[in-house]
Amino acid sequence: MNQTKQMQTFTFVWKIILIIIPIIFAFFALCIGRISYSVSDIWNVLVSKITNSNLEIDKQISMIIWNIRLPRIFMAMLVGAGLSVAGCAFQSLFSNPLATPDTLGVASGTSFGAALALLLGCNLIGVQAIAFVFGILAVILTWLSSVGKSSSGLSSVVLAGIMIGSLFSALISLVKFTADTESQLPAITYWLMGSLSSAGFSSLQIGAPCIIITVLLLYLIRWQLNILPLGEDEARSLGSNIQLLRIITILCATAMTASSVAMCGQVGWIGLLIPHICRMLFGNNHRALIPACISFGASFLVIVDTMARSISASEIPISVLTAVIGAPFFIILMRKTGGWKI
Amino acid sequence: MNLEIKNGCFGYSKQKMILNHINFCAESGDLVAILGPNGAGKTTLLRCMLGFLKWHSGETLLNHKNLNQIPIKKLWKQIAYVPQAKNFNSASKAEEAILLGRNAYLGMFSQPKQSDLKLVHEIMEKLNILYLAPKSCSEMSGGELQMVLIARALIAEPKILVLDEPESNLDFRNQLIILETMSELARQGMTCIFNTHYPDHALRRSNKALLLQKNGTCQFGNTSEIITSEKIQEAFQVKTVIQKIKNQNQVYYSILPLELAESNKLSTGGNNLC
Repeated sequence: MNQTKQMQTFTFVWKIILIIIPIIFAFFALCIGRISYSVSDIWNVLVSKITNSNLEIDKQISMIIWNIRLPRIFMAMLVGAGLSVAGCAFQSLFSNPLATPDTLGVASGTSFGAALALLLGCNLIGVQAIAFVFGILAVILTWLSSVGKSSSGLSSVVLAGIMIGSLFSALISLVKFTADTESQLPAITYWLMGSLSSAGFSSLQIGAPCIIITVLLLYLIRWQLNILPLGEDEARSLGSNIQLLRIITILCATAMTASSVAMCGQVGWIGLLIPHICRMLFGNNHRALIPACISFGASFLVIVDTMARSISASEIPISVLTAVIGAPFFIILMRKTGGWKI
Repeated sequence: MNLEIKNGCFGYSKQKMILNHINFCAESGDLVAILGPNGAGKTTLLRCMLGFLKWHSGETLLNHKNLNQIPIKKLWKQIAYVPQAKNFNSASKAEEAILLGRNAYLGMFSQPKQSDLKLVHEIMEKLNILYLAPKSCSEMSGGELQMVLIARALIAEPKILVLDEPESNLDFRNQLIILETMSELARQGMTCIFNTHYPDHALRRSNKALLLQKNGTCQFGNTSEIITSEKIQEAFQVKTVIQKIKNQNQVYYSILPLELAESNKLSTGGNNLC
């Protein structure tokens, strides 16, 4: 009994920490930027906007915080949480610590769609929509090519994913090759490195609901996800519909990744980094793992994006920063905890 | 609770049947051993029996009802399956691994309750493995892991327990723990069905035995009628002798392999390893 009590207090304290961390980081991220504001300024803007009251606030401050920084931070939190949960789900699904949101070729497909749209000169919404469609298309192709006459399970899905991924990577190179080197190529290259600078409430409208719904769904079935790494017979013998569980996981993780990449390009690393950090801290129980991935993923991308937009005069591509900040942190943690196993 | 296989046939390709006309029946309190040489299809038989593979013809009946027609959640509250420990590769804690056994009682969106966790601790205490609770499955010995898998199966409160080579790869103390656990469960009225490589264990523990032959046919009946020198020689191509050992007024039977049967002698070069 003593043991169960200890477990409870542990998770209760952590639950509160996990909820508070992203909120605190988001709040401070609102203060920091090319122009810094005090905490009380931020508070006044938020209160007046939410309660619709007319406090004495500078129009410019209100504009920057509400229309520029807030949607951007909101997007960073969503994308960070989405990519982390997607990575975590794929690692459990394939019982492979190297699995990332791109394992089934989603990110490559989405990136190709975006590059193509940029080549064709589409507007922002068009780029997002085309990117998303190609992401889903890549997964469908992966699925179709893995279901052969004698399907040999999940490893053939992974192999098919790698093939489809490399196919789309090649197509991206082709698009870059044909792009106009003066205007289009820099745009495509910049987009592929990832940036949240396009964030606004309008661009959030497409991707945000998709990420919120799929993350919520995986959060709700988080205990069932513990069954994913088990063998097929074993999972069935626990009375679970393992096929359905796998399909839900793949669909959710794919939709999250495609929306994330469609909104802000390839934000590398997060899908590998955050789930691993969470597993080192909380073990492999998805009841703790999924909330931890959501919280840490959201916090991490908010921090990284804040640095990307405020370190230098011009923005630093986000996947450069995720790797530069993430890799050393990851290595230190791995040496301390001795890594983890699925 | 009664589990029956009627005329089961199965083959991975339609031309070659691995299992031919399997007939088998287990009642409450039975401890059934399934024996057979490597490659005869013992594990395949278990997988067909439990519906993981579809019988080519024939059927499995649970209380006279076709297994495939029972809803999965309902089915797996009555039967529990203990897979081979060597294939298990999860790094979760013992407690969490055992808790998964309650899945048949939980819906898609529900979480295990405090009472489920209490049940885990009760079962672990009963099996004398409470000390394993916080240990990670990836750091366990084969014997410990096998006990955790048995605990996971028992927590679903099944009437029938099916074990795939539960005592393989264990030292003889751990084998004894596993076998004693199965005997005790059978005494309490549970049906235990297990695959084994040891005719000795079948002789000593089980009241019924199923002997698979290389050609996929089987013999099923009381252990004393099935595990005999002649039948073992037919199945394994090994000459054996069954001994009676008396110790403190108890009689034990033991089976001792003597040599390969004539046609399969090593010197003739005609032996096949499978």
